[in-house]
Amino acid sequence: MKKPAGTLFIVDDDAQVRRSLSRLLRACGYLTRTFASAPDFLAEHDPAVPGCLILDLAMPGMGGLELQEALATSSYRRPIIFLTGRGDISKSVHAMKSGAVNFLTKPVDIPDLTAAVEEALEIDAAERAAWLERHGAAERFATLTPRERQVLRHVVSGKINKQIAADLGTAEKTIKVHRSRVMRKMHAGSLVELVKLASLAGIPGSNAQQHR
Amino acid sequence: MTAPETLVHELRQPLTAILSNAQAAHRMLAAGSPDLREVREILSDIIACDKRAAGILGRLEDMLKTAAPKTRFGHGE
Repeated sequence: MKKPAGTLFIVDDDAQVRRSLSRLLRACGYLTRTFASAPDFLAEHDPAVPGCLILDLAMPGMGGLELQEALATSSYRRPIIFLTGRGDISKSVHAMKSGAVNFLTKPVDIPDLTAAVEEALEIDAAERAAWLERHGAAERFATLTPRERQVLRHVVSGKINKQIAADLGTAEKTIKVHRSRVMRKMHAGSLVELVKLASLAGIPGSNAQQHR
Repeated sequence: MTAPETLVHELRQPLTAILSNAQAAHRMLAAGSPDLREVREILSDIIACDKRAAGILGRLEDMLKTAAPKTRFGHGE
C-alpha cells in the first residue's frame, strides 16, 4: 500500500465524474477533496496543504487553463494533472508548456492515473520545500520594523556598522543593536545566512549580482 | 445547436465515471470487508451513468440520421 503524501484536489463540473474519481483514489489509499468549479477550489485553496490537482480541462465558466493561470500568479503553483478529451490537443500543448505535470484522456485507467498522481505528489514535495523556505523568509522579513529593514538592506549590501551608522545618521552602537535584532528575527546564524534569507524574501539589493 | 463533437465529448463523462466506479468497487472488494452500502451506491451510479451514456448515443444517432446522405458517405469536406 502506498503512503499518501498529500491531498488530491479533484475539480470537475460533472458530479458523477467527481464522485467516481474520488471513490477510486480513496480506494487506492489517497486523501481526496472534490470541487464542482474552479472558483470553488480557489476560494478554499490553502497553499500550505501538500497535494496536487486533478483538473478537468473543459468546464463551463472558469476553465482548467484559467485555473492553472490563476495558480501560476499566486504564491504557490500546485502541480496539475489535466483530464481531457482527445480533441483538445492545442489546449493540451498550452497547458504542458505552462507546467502541467500530465495530461490524461477520459476515461482514465487506474495505472495511468496512479502513476500521474505519484509523479505530481513527488513534484509537489520538492517544490513545496523550496516554497516553504521562500515563504518563511518573507514572513520573517514582515516582522521587522521599518528601521530594521533599512539596516538589513545596508548589512546585506556588504556595509560595516560604522558605514551604516554614518549613512543613517545614528550611532554605531545603535546599529549594532538593530543588527542583532535583525539577525534574531530573521533566524540567521551568520551574515551569509542573512544574505541568503534576504534573497529568498526577495529583498531588492540583496542579490550580489545586482548593481546600481 | 449541438455539434457531434460536443456529444462525443459529453459521452466521455459517464464513461469515465463508469470505469472509475467499477475499478473502485473492484479495489474495495479485493481489500476485504468492503462497505456494502457504498458498493451498492457504486452499482446504482454505474447504472445511472450507463443510461446517461445511452441517451447521449441516441442523440448522436438522431443527428447522423438527419444529416444529408451525401455527407454520410463523404469524409469531412
